[in-house]
Amino acid sequence: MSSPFSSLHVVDLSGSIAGNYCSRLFLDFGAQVTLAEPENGASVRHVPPFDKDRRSLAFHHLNTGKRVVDLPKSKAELADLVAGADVAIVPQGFKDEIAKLAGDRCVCVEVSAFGADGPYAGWQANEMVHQALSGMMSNNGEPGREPLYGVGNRASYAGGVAAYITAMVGLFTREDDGQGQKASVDVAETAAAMCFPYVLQYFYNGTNRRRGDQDIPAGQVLCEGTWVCIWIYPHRFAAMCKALGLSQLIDDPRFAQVADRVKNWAEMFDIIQDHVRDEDAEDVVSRLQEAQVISACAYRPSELLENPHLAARQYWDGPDAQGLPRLGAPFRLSRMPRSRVNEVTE
Amino acid sequence: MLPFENIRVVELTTAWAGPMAGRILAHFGADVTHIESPTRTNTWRTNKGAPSPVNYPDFDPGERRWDRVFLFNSQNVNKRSLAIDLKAEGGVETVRDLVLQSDVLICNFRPGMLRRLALDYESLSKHKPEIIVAEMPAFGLEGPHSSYAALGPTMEMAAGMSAAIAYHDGKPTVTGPSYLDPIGGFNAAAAIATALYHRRKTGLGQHIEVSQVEAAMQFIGPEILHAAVEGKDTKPDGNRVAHAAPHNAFPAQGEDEWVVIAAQTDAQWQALCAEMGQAELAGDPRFADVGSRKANEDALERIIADWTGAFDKHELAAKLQSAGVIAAPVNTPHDLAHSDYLRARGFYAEITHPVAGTHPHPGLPFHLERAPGDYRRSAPAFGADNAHLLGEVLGFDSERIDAMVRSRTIADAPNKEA
Repeated sequence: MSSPFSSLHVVDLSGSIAGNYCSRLFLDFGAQVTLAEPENGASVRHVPPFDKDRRSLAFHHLNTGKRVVDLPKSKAELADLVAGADVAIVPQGFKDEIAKLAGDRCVCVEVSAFGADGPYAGWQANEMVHQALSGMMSNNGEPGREPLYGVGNRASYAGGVAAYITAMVGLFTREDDGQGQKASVDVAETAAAMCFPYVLQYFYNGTNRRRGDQDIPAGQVLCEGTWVCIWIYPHRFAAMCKALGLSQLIDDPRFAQVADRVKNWAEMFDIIQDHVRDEDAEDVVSRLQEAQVISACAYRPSELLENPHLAARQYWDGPDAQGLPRLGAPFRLSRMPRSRVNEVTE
Repeated sequence: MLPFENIRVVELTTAWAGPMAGRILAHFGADVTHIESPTRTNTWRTNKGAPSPVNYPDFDPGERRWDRVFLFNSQNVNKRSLAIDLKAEGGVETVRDLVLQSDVLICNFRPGMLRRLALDYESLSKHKPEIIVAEMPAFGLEGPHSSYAALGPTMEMAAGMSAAIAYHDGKPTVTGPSYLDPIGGFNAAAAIATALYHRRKTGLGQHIEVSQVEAAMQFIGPEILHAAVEGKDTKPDGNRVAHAAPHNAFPAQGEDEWVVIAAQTDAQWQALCAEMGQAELAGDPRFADVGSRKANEDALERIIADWTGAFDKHELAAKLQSAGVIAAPVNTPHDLAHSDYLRARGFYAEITHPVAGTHPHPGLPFHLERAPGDYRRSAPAFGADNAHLLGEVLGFDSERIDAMVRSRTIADAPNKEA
């Protein structure tokens, strides 16, 4: 039997990373997705990074495989485009109009940075703004230095997943009564919802959690140029020492007790660093994991492309018509295999 | 009626990612039971070591600290708790009975656990073809790293994110401090919602695999493709980016208070100069366009930092936004608690927990006109629903339940230090 998604028609008028990622997820699992693009090009085409021909890799990642049409210039054209759509992803301010044009069965999800009302209506946003407002950024980086916002546009992608969940709930509900509905998702609220729940701690006892308030029992070392992170819980210290061939540290008075290790943490990691500098990072992690010590390579994006684990999982698709790999599915459903997309959207 | 009101979910989960997936389903009405172990307590219950007072209401762990901790209580709103020892006689069988009366099983323990307990999709679907089993392994169910233990921060590293976040020449940085957990939770909820829709249409369940690392890689897909195109990685440099200058956090009035400011266009830069009262900078050739501002970014940032330090971060950000400059305060938990924006969204719900008391709780960002979620109950006390689940759902008689209590197969408190 074909996927129930194969008869779903999704129209993406959002013009945003979050909206485009929401419709990308529908595309991944077999829906027909139409992307409406203004005559002078979608704003996402200007989102970095770019390839050597100044084409946006964000646009490529989000929209390859979608059917692209011109953004309608008249209400009649817009009505034609959205007529019969099961899901419409729309920008701020268009929810009511599009829902009306699309008909009663459409689930119409408005995706925006801050929503149409509230104190931030009219504010400009980028990734750093979302991370700052959400409370996430205040946790990142070293005390005393500027907090770090992160990388890429992760808040917007999260907003896209939130919009997708919202649309799926709307479709599920439609099965009861045949009726669609209007819905909205803010990227800013999504980012706040994904922040570590320190705000509940604040409500519990007034603690205003700041960077450096808690010692995380971890450190990083370079192994042949690749960073490896090692978590040293008290009960795994001896196991870590043995796994790394540093058994002499187990009874070393500088590190023998938890309090000593905390005090001499930097010194301990200097010793570990000297010892593993020329070792293979994957091998170090493998030995530590074998000894039930949590550790991981901090891969650079380029290292993921050659990663043996991802290769063994047949993670990568492609190369596509543009010669680029396609990232694997965000999740795997046994009865809904991910669509194969080989064409380049133009 | 709530959308998932007739859906029963069982969680074999711990910490954050798995419980957040269940919390989203519960928000939309699902009857979610969190299976807990009396002998190996969920880490977010904080049952080991001396209690740290900052985790509890009014700094008081009380007699049942595991019921008073903000961590567990934040992610398990609307759920039930069945505290049952899977290693005790009848433990696994009871959970299996409950799962077979349910629609969805969520697991965020390491691969292999469900199979060992005969709770894997293959085993369950023989008895119940419509069951949905969602597993959330960090690295996937197969592959050379599939058995690796992980935490949110190590998954962020494995996903290629942390190495792209660093001070100039610094070490990889983790964020959030556990951003990958909610990313995993949201993706699992998305996958389960998809499978529920599929089941509604076909009557069939399915198996879901959410490799949390792979789900997160999508969030930096363009950056990964860029590395493929360039054959190398972009070197991180704090908050600085190639396409905007300034683009950083600057000190504001107060201890460790910051405001972010960005100019992606020359117009935004000129507006910033005007707000700083230094209109002449707009004509300074060192800062004429993004390229020249990038080349002179140290000098540029010094000028801005000398100016921002005297201002309240909220007032300054609002003033700059009014002038067309991208800016925002770097919010702390205190700021989030007093956020007019989040209150305008109805983000906080006042919930009374029988042991922890009444507090506003952070919410979820989904707003459907006809299918709103709701807050029906607080996070459960440990084992609070043992009697309901065993008696009313599974139909065990009181004698059988009492025997399970006596043998500590079920419990209403975790073992000490477990």
